[in-house]
Amino acid sequence: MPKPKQRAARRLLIVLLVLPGCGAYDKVGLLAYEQVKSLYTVCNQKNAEQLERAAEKIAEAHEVGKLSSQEVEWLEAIIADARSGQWKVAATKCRRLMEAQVEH
Amino acid sequence: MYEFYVSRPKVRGFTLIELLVVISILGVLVALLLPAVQAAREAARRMQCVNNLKQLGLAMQMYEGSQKRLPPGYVSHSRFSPAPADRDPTSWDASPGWGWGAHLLDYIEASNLSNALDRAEPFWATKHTSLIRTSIPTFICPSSSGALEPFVIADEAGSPLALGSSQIEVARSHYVANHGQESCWGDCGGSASQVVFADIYSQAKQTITHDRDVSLIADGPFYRNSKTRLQEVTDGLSNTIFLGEHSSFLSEKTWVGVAPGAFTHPLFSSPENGPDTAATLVLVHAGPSGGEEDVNGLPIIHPLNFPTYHVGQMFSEHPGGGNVGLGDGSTRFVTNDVDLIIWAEYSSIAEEEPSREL
Repeated sequence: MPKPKQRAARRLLIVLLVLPGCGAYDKVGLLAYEQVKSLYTVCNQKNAEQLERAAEKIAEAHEVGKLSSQEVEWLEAIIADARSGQWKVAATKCRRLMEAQVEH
Repeated sequence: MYEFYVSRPKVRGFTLIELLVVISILGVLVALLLPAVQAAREAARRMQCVNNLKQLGLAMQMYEGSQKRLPPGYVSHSRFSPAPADRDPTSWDASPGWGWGAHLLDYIEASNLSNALDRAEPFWATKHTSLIRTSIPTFICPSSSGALEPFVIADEAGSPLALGSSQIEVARSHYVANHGQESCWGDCGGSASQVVFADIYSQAKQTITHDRDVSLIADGPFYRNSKTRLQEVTDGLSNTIFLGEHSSFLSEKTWVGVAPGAFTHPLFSSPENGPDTAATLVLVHAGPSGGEEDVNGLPIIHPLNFPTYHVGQMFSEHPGGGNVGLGDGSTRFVTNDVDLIIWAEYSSIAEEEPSREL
């Protein structure tokens, strides 16, 4: 039955695709996860107004210590891409950051 | 003096360098060819997967042609009085539980199986034990890397659901029907009213008193005891998703139906996914559900392959996206970065949206 082989091949493919040069996101806290999920919606809809609101909320959360510096760095990189009009790149980063939280 | 020379044939093998060069060239050729071979194999699997979806879409049309309504998402005598003994107090799901797939058997060349089923009886009745384990190729997408064999329906804790005398083992489906954006899922019985979005554009909310009648909440074509007629799909059949994929790599779905008290469990975890109520054995929704908003106040929409990996969403293993079946019987490949609002529009039957390409 080819299924386990197929699954192993698929996992290997994912690892090969994700590892090189992808910035290797790590685990984030629940608030960062919620923010990146929201940022995905913002980027998908190319909503500049909501982007700034999200940026403010992220900055506020960082100030009171609810987001770590690493989390804020990743989120701000996404926001920077979106601000420069690279909505699709930003959305792809959101997806990758969310994918990095999955445990098989 | 005469010198006698014996000329020996010159035997020359390959040098190590030559061998290494040949092996390297072969390696490069294989490396170049392998992705193409894998892609060709996936293309073949995807074609079969789409073909199944088309067959199910056609079966839907034929069912509607004879019954003048689409098959129910699943059948549940929830509102009978007196209450059925097997009615789940939280979801209000009850017997007999048969799902949309079981209603299509006559139209996908599975009439023998269909004739053997007693749809007045629960699918978990002893007389159906072997029948509901029947794997039907039309419900299997070859691109799914998850298990193919029948699975045991679980309760919320993940243990075999206790209904009747033995555990309930059912055959799989890699296809699910669309419940719409709004759902009450497990809360259908817990409360007689629910907050929902009035529409997805303004995010205005309203409270609907449904008294456990899911038709007052669901805005997709299939839900508990649905009897949707094609005329009710006012967004247009080519603008409404009827069916989609859900690989058993994420969670277990079945063509058979919904057992009260059952739960669908994710087979891998994200920070957000977890067990979801019985209806997700055969149905999925697009969100936003129950007026849910994210941390910044935006409606939560989870399209196909959204990386929250809810068991109540569509999920495909095709590279880059997945297939959906529309109400007109056609299929469409939807990419992972589909516009969320368009996805939500295609999930409802009457959002009154402008016709936009999915």
